Amino acid sequence: MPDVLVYGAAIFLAAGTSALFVALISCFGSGSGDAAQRNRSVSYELSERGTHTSDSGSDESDLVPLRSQGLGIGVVLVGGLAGHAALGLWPRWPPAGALDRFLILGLAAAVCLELAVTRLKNRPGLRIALEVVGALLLCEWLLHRSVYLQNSLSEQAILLGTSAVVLVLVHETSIRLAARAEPGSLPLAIAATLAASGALIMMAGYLKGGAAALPWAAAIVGTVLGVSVTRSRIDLQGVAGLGIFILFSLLFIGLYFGRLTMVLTLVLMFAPLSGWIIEHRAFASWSGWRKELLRFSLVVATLLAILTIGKGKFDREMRPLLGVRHTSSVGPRQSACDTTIESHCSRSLSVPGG
Amino acid sequence: MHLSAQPGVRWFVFVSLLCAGYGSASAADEYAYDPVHSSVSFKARHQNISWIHGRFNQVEGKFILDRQDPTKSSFQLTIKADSIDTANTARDEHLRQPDYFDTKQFPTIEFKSTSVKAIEGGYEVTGDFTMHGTTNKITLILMGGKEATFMGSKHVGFSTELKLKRSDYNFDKSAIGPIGDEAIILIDCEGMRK
Repeated sequence: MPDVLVYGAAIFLAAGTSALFVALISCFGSGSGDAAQRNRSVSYELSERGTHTSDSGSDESDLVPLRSQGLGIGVVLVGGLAGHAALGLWPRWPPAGALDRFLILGLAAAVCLELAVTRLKNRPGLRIALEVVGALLLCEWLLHRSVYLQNSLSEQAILLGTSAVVLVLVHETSIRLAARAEPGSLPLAIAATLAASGALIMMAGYLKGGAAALPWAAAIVGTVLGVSVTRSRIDLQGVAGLGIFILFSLLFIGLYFGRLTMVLTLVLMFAPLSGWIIEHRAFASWSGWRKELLRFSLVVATLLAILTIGKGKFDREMRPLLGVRHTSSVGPRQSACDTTIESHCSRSLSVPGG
Repeated sequence: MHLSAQPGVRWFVFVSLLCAGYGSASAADEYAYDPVHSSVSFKARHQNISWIHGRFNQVEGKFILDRQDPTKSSFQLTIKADSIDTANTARDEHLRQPDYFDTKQFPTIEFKSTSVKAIEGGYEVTGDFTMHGTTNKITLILMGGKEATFMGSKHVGFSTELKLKRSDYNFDKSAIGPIGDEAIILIDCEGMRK
């Protein structure tokens, strides 16, 4: 059975560690400052050097230094790993299961891929090609030496190919959404999705796999809160991108090694993008905070619906295994059935030798 | 005239003796595991108050018995971990997941003998037992070995019981609690040959 106190400690540690590191970077780094102000100063610096700037149609985030996004990714990593330590979820060496492989190399690959994608923001063809190759390798690594890679080559190609396409599609769409929304909006949506995914994987029967999602959700929340409070230079687009890779990896593990269904997995994967609805022109006149609140509410509503479905399945299938009985709707009066059973038992006991 | 003096007779006797010697040297019989008349079952403690029973429904293997030189015998068994059956579908699905058998990563449980010794009533078999990606040396006491003829084929049967700790096979330690660490495995198998 999951230890709620241990999970709570891990969540608190992950969020706190990330927030602390954001604060430390703000204090000892190059200082905090408004992100737009920073972007304008960077733009001025690049134009002074005669560096080619992006076309007038692209947004200011193209000019954010790689370091700023790298810091965000690093802060999430530190918090997430601290949470893993609190849960005792250390990988085995050599890696035996999918979760071991995710923590060894899988996470590193996700970080490298996100940083590379950030670097190639103005070269979409190369960026997408790199994402596809990276996604294929990540999927293959997560399935390494499992039964799925013992099928025919065509079956393997279909499995890996479709998985990579889903990951690249969600990641690319997230980049575009992150550029349009407030900086912390998408990371928070991803954190909520990670938490819901963790709960659903646990309810489907894979405790460890579900627990692995919680520190990452907490680390992202801690990073966003830390950046909001300290007005740090850390850019959150990289946090969102890394969050998508982590979400995909854990859902992938939950689907192919746990008992998560394909439908639930896909809905969870696309849940953070339900905020795209707010980009409709009907909401164009809404103020910033109202739009973001509605955007987050849409994601949460989607997740609550999925959690309700998952909980129902858990109640039907897993609860009996835990020895948890449903509370009866019958009041203090015994039902007629109970009375019959009791009288039968008392008659049996009163028979000599029976 | 003595027959032995004739070269043809001597040659015939020599070849006959040679064939007899060859026949007795290859006394090893190979038996295929008979799934219809065999079972691999287990039980483990639940909350330390009762036992949960289960079985594996898909098993295959073979054993080679050399009655003249038992040390040349060998035993091999492969169990499909996915075929676990505890008479509860939800529990079976749960046991297939990574917290327990992780059947998508470790699809088989295997035993391969490395040495065999004849003992009273059976054999003492030492070999490599691989489960959940971990291999440990274990020793089985196989009782049985009598042969019977049934429906035109020869059958031989063995029984054994062994105790294993899941923690010795890298099972998730946090999942060892409600269900006990130690499991008792009972194997009753028949092998058949034509």
